Amino acid sequence: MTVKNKINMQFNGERIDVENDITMAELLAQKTLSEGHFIVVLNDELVVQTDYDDTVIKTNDAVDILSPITGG
Amino acid sequence: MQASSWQVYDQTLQSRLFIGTALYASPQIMMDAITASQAQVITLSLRRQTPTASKNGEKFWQLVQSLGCRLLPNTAGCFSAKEAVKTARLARELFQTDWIKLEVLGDSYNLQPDPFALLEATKVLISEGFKVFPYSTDDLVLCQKLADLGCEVIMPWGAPIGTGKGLLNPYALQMVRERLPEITLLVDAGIGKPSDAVQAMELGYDGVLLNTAVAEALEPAQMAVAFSQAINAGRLAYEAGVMPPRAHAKASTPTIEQPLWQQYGE
Repeated sequence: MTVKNKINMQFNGERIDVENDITMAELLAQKTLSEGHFIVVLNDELVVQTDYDDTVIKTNDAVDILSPITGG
Repeated sequence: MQASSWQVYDQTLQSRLFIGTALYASPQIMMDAITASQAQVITLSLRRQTPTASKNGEKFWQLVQSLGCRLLPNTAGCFSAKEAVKTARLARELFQTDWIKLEVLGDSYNLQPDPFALLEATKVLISEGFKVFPYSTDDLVLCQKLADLGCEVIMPWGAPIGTGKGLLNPYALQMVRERLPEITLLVDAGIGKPSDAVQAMELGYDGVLLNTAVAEALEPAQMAVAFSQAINAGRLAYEAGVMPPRAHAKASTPTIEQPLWQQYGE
């Protein structure tokens, strides 16, 4: 059985460990974010939905999920 | 009677009230107030999800969509041009609109716009195809420079955000109106009472953007109606043409053939 190494990253401001080579699509699935209205930002850059499968998370990457909120 | 419709960038609107979605005691109260206001444009924002906000954010989004209003996302909380530009780009993706209420703040106490950073951010965003709604002070030169950059809409403040102090400097607002006749102008921020909104509209402003005055009323939906009617009344008055004031009294009742004039006259 192959054990994947873990890497440390930042998700919505919190440090978490995730599997090495995890893609954005897999990360979002783990966080049950497959549905809903949000955008994904990786290291301050927008990641479009069509790139989720090809975007591999690296150590110390920062991923933020942005959603609509109330505003004036 | 309804005041004339108006054009805001690519959109023709009937209502001249833009209303915010924040500060309501509950989502239902927000929905009732916005519906009662008959506003066609609502402001909203974007933030990083938290476990609690994630659930609420989705519910909020569903409610917003059910309103069928045009969305005007803001860059609230940004204190630099760079931050505001980045937020605007993300808002465009999230809300699928090129409209952006551009806020670049310069002071954290009175949330006063930073005029220099506002111009800097406006220039970048217009070059990227945004329809910018800059939240500005009532400084005429700043407003002129925003117009020169290509803003078709400018939104000077009446007073600092959330203060409800009304129009602190009607003279400055009037100067902006007179000097920029081709620009669509809304008073944004500081409106406390419907009479403040009437005053803005009587000055010739095309619309009013407000949030706190409705959200923090004891009866938000009722206050929303009051603002809606006040804004319409103010616009109707402006279009009807307000009489010029004069220094001395002028009798409104005719004096010709006044009875008993010989008896009590001079």
